[in-house]
Amino acid sequence: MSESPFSVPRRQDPLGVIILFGQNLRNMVRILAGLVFASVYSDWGIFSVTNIVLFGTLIMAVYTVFQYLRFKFYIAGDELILEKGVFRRERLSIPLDRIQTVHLSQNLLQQVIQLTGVRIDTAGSGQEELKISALKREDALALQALLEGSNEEVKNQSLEGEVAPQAPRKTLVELTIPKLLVVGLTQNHLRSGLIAFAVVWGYLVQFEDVIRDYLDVNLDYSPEEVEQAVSSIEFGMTLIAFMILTFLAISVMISLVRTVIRHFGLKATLGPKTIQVSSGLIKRNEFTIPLNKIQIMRWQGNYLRRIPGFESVLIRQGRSGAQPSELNVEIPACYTDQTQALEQAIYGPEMEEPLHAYSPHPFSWVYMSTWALVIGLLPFGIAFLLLEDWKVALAYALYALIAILWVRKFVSTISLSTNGSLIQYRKGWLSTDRSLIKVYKIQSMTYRQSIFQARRGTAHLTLYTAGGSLTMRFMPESLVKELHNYYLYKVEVSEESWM
Amino acid sequence: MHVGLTGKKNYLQAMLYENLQIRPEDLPDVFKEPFNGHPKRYLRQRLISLSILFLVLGVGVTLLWMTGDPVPGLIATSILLLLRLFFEFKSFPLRGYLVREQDISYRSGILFREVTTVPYNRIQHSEVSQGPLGRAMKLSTLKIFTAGGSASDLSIHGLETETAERLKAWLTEKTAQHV
Repeated sequence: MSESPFSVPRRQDPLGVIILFGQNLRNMVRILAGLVFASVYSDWGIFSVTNIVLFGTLIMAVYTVFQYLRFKFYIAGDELILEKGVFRRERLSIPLDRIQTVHLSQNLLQQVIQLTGVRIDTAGSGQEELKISALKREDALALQALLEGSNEEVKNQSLEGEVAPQAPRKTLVELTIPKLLVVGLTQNHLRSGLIAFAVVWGYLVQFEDVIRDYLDVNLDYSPEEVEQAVSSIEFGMTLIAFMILTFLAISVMISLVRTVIRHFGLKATLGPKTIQVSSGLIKRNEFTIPLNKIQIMRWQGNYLRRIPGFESVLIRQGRSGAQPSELNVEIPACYTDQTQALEQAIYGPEMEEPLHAYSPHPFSWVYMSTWALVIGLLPFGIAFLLLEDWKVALAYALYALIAILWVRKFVSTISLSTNGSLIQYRKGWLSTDRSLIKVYKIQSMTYRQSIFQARRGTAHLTLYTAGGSLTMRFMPESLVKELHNYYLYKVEVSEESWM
Repeated sequence: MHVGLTGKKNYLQAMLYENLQIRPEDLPDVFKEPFNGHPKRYLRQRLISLSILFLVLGVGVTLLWMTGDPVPGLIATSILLLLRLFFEFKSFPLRGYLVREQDISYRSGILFREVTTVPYNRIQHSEVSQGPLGRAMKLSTLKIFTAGGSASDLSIHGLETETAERLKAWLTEKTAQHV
């Protein structure tokens, strides 16, 4: 390790000052945006705000230079050391065998200057974020290889020399532009639409007064005119149809844009020990995931994706609670071949023994329908109170019928398959969801049963891993208890590294 | 199916390999073990903290209804409090922890029963903490941390401080064997 370029304390690339400045600027804008916005509508005048911003930027530039100079990193013995801090100096040391993932990313600025950021995660709870923001690409790659190579397991395996170290990497998925568009068009549009709606709503509430002022000024119709127009039924129907269409169109647009930003130029390759995924338009992310560090794999499909015949795959690694969800790795557009290749690479040995399938408790649909009916009572109840029309009760009956049919169909798709070393949980009808977990990755387990469930003997089982949890609901109580005991036994005798 | 058993390493592995049958009914059953209850003082602590919470709630309700009649709100709050106290009493005997050779479990709840188990070989570290009310009652909390976020962490409140410390020492010893 002595010939490694990282054994002496070193700074980031000199151009990193610009990257750091960019980061600081972004943080400042985020904090000051509200202030500037407010000042436009108040008496301070834009001039003094400009001055404040200019002065702040100048101070920040000076601060950034010190920040750059104070930031040093090196590897000493079995630890990665980060030294940083302008006012309060910090020295972080991270034992190399605690490092879970090292991932590279480039935001727009980093792409322009051609520097790469390195993010290190230890999967400890509440650990602060470890980031080196500006390295030359070859340095970043070398550091990543060094940090991930130092992982005990990988080292041991390569020492045995059974797997050829330079086995070829296989391209799993490569998203061309047409394919990217197909992925975008087959997203769960309803979810995109709702997310957009929530975001817009949040902003609306924030700037409600401003918007109301604006709208008031620009409304040329008299209130009577508006009321008259709205009250006519045809207009109401047209309005609703128009709103639904607009919502759909906006949702599809948003799905497309999100997909392109996130998955542009996606390439996923599968090696003997790792999966590599790189993607992103504005910010390029590059993940290298050791196969033995994967905690949960999830395959998700929906009614639209069934047409081109692919599913998207989510890969969950051990991660700290503070880590943002953008770091969840997703490979969209996995066809059956690729799914099989992935399953074989990750779960090959576990899949050799056949899986036994179990269904939820036969009574589970009653619990779930009851839930749906109780939840439905609220909006329908309010509607009834407002409209005072018995047709609402009819609508509720219709809703109840659809809900029960829906739940029955949904329950019939749920299945748990296991063989003692692997768990597969599948659910979903219009949108499908299939999770795979190796039993030895489980790190704790919860058995849950409400007083109502106790009467019929059903219970939930939640399995927690370092990369998230899986809850199996309304399974037969005896099965849940048996699995709880059995999986505990399996985990407790397991010698394999679960992290 | 052909199984390749060539090479010295594979041969040795095959010699050492044992594959005894495991019958699910023979496995130790966590649900049949007697759990250790909390000291009675913990019930008092829970009741006190509940009362404080509802006192704050009551004051809040009164302030909210400054313009109108606070009585209905206060009655609702009191009924809620009584219900909570009732279930607190009923569920207290069900609360408890179970320490086995390989794992630690906690059981709670009457409306919603829960049993959580954490194997020792998945624990990252553990700690003992004490709040102001706990200090007055001489009760401590044992927190057990696993990897990756906080969802799978386990906290056992209301332990005798001495018990909590002893458990922590036991866990530290047990987890050290697995690292």
